[in-house]
Amino acid sequence: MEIIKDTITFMYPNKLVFENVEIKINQGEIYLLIGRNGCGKSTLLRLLAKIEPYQFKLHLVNEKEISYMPSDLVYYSYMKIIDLLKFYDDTHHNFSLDFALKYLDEFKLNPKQKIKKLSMGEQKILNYLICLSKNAKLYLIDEPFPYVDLLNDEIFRNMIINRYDETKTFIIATHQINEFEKLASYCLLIKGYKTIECLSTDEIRSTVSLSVEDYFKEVMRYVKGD
Amino acid sequence: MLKVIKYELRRFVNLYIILLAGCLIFFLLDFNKHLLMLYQLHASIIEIITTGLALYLIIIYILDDYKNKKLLYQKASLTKTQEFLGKLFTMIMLFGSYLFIMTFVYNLKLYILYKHHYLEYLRLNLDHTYLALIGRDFKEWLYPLHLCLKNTYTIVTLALMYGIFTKLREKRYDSYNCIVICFLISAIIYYLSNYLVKLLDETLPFLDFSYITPRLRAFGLEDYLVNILSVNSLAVVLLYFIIMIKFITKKRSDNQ
Repeated sequence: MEIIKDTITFMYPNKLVFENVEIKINQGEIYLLIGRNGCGKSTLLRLLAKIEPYQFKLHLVNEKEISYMPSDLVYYSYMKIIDLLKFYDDTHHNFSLDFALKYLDEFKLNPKQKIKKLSMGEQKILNYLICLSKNAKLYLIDEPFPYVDLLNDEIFRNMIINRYDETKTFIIATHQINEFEKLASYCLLIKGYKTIECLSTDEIRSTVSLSVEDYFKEVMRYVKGD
Repeated sequence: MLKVIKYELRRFVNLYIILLAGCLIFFLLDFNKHLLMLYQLHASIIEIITTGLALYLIIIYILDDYKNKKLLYQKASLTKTQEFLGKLFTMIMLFGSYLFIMTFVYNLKLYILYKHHYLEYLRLNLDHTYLALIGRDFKEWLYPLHLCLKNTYTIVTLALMYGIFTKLREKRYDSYNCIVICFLISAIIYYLSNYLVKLLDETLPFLDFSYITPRLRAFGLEDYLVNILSVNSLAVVLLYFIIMIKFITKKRSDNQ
């Protein structure tokens, strides 16, 4: 079942990001969104999350059932971690405080720590934790991995496995392709402002005998800059 | 809405306490001085800080829109109206309570001086500091409320204009057109509120609503242009300035 099937055209002042690009997302799949720096990965996620004023046609998912993880921290600086989790519990009906507290413990984060004093890695973890603690149908995750240590990488993947069922769809924009390669069933490769290629990860491995990361490197070597 | 108020009040509580404590200390430091100028200065400080606080809060909320902070409530189980009203009431509660606490302290100080020194002298000379209430008519007790309403009026006008601007931008109108439309809407609001104040003054004269903004009774274009130069209009000009910044920095799609 498709939750998104649309053609996008989008530009910032003086920069065309997408021009008549077809995009199709199926329900219950995990997608890796990959591409070079500045190619529009974050923009695509913001468009799908309906943060930019763009009327994407969504099927089977309403706007409140989207959980979006931005690449930077967005919270009020007076808050402690526990205050923030309670804020989400109070204001988002699909937020699970128990789920968040369970993983907070696994990540070894102190709930009484002030958010503004968190390290970059801890900020990423907190962003990710909040995104995954919502019981949503579409998860849009922007760059979860920079600054995060190896043990926490493992917890990240376990969280997705715990959350996953056939009604939930994940789109993860990342440069650390290896970390999610085995989880993802498809990869969305942004080749330029006119093409987003959707490939099955199994197909890449079986037909060209390359890992997704190596395939990406090979392909991008021959793509002309826009 | 109450949830929004709860979290937004906590966001500004530190600033609020600093302003309140600062002003109270300033009042208490010169407690025994009997210079008339000081009381006039105190009244001006209360007015300026209250208006400044109101404008600061609305600017912070408008600037939040540039940043990712708007995401906090975006996917929440609250409607946009609940979020808007929550933020509006937070602003009113903060500058309103600040005004009433400071007016109370100010008048308490005057009252103590009256008891021990010379109120008659003060009463005769504080006519222009309209927060001094002691020993006066009933209607003068409403002056802090009038000041509070005046700030609320400014805040609501700005919020409304910004809201309309954002909606128009979402509907793909050009920024310059949006600014012109916002300007015209602000003119209509001025006319309507002037007319409302006139009606209130006629029907409830004892409440003395003429102190509520806009004080000038403008019904012609010429008068309106004069009003543009009034203090409230400065706030509107400030909004245009913010809108211009937003216009310059806002990312938008032109081919949608």
